[in-house]
Amino acid sequence: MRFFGSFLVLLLILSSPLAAQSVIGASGLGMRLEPLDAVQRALGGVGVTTRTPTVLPGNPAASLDLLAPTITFTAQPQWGTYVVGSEKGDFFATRFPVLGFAYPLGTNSVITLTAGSQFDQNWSVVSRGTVDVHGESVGYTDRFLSDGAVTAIQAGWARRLSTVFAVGATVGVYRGGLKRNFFRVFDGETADSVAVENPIETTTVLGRWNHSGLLASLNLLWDPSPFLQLGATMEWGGTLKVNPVRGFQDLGRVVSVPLQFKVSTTVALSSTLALNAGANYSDWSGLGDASVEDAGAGRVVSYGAGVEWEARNFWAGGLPIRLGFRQSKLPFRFLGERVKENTVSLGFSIVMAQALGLPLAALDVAAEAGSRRSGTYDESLRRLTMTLRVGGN
Amino acid sequence: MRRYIFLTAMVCAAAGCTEEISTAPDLGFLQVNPRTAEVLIPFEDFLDEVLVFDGYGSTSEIGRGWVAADLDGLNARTLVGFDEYPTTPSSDQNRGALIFTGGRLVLHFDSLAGELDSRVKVEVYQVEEEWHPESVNWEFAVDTTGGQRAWSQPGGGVTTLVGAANFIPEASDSLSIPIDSAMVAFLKTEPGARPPALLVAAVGSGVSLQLVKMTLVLTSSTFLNPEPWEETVPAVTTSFMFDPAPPPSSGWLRVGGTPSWRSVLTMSLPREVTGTPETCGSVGCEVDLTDVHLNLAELVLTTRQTELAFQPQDTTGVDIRPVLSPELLPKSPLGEAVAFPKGVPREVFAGQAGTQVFLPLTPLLVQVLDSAAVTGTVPVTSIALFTNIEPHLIGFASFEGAGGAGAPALRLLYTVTNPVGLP
Repeated sequence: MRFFGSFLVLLLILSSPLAAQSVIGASGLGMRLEPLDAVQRALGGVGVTTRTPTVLPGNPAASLDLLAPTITFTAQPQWGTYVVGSEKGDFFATRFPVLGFAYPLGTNSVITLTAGSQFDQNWSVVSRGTVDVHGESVGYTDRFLSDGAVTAIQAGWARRLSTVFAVGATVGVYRGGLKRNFFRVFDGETADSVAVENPIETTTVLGRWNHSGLLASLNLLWDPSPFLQLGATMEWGGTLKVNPVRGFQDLGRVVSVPLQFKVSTTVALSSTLALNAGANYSDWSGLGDASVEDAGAGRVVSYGAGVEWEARNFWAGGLPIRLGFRQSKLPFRFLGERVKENTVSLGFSIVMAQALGLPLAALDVAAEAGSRRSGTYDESLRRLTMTLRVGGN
Repeated sequence: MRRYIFLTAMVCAAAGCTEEISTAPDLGFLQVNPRTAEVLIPFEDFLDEVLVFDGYGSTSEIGRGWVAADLDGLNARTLVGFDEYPTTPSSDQNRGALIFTGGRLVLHFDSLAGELDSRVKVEVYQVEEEWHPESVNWEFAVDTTGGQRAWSQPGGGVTTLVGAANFIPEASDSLSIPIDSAMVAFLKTEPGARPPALLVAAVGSGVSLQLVKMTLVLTSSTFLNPEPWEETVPAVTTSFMFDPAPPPSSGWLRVGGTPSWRSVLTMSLPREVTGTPETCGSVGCEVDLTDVHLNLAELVLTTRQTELAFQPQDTTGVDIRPVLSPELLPKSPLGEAVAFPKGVPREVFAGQAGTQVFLPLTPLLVQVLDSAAVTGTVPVTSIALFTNIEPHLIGFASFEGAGGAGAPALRLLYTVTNPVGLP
């Protein structure tokens, strides 16, 4: 239970949204942010099959090989540069896409509790303008700030039905909030650098919403041979309710989140080399809300692949090196255009403690570089993902 | 568990758990669509009534006196009440009963605040009649609600000349008038009787001086120590009176002076104003002020030249507060200051009359419009314009009233937006 206590402490620390950031998140429900850890990020994985036992949201089967209660925590700083027309700028943020706890029940079952990011709604836009006051031109700055995220908190259970076949299931709830604030801030001086006679108050328009809803998933894991693992996950997105907070007059929204299908395989090519590949499919149409549906990208397929090479030891265990790539289509259009994200990745793990050949404490790191593109809008992206796995009694 | 939290903190530190969220130019996808416009509401569309009241505070409160002689037809005199004569030496080195062998009156003037061309003859008189420092004026020695007593002669009653001297502003800011032992004895009163009381007046034409301080200095000795020294008798009250009083304001606004003037404006803000092309496009529309964000509200006043004798000697700090109980005017309690008092320079009430002054009303009108949004009716609001320190200056500020080009107006800067909404 000490681990459960740790988990709760971390949950309090990480009560900020589990998400990422880009102005692309201004569309639809926000920027899709997959709840993947550093291993999956490095391998271009979709979070279904893994050679490294860990805790993944929506996939309790990934925790079946854990020997002891384990807590995982993922931090993800991102850096980016956007270009649109002649405009160019930078952004940076840190998100926490995965927080997980797994508790093995004997050697054949495990229960999990996870918090995983779903959509990121953190972004802002800024523009400048002028207005005539007393016949003098006074500048102002418009700033629109969106601060929010949709997070899924899920409880899962998985069981090994035989030596080669395992099933898992999760149920969970959507949680999170959204603040959308607009500010028009007037300058204290006219265009001629003369102080304005009296201060001009800022225009402030606020909106607040809460997210709620249910979701669930089913997982299948099949190890037909010691060298091959196949997995599939079906996620039922349920209905995501976006309700205005009491006191705010804005309208709410009810969105039908589509089914999501994930398949993945891990092949051990040799004792030191493994291949991982996976794909993810969902249909972002028929979402139940006209404005979100207008932004929906329809059928989107994301896929990725990577290799893991573990030839050397370091500290208390192996030192796997990972290389991967991923191509993702985001579920919502931006400025009317589909958004595509391409990344290449490099990663490694440092095992700090292990037992029976399985890590009890490890740090996984993945570095990605890539781009997002939507029509004339371009973003270059650098993303670092770090996962800490700690297990023990 | 401690080590896990420590590790978590390490990762967090490595990751940099701070945030600088994405900031991009406005790409036109926001629904909020803010539009800012300015509107000038004329006097007749927002002001129901303008009232001007006087008599706030007393000439005894500002701690200074005023002497003027034929300044644009105005005369002003200062009444100074002194403390009792000392009976024992102020220094421990001297002992015995004091003997006064003469003295002098020392007057300090603020020549910067006065209107002077050359030397000014200043006369000091002993006042025979008692007066009430808080209510005394040219006609009445006592002018209170409970009782009124006129001077036997307007301007101080029967007086006896104590001394006179010429004040030369270029030479000094003070004046010393010697008095002999007989006059010292004449001014002395018995313990418990009314202490010495003097009246200061100026002689000439076009003269105006502020009396900053006045003391009575007595040349003293004792039987045991015949070597003379000086004992000072301080002034304990200073009041002034003038004649004639400023002519009543004929529709224009007055703020300040001593006793002070206040102007009370009763406003009925229109709920709708005609929109501008920025807010309505080319088709035009009426903008409901309860639906907009008010960025700036200013009362636009035009200064007028104050009567020469009453022009402010310094910057006038104009305070605006809501009148909480208009039915109790002129004694209604006032609310919180609408904004920091606005300093209006003296020149705009003299040579630069006709200058527009913009007094901030934004917080008050935001409240008014918020209330109107809830109740559906724009409440009638009264505001009082007065000086933040009352009384402060002898002179007062004057602003144009209803009618004419300089009539008060209300300038609003507002922003119309849509709700932030969901994308």
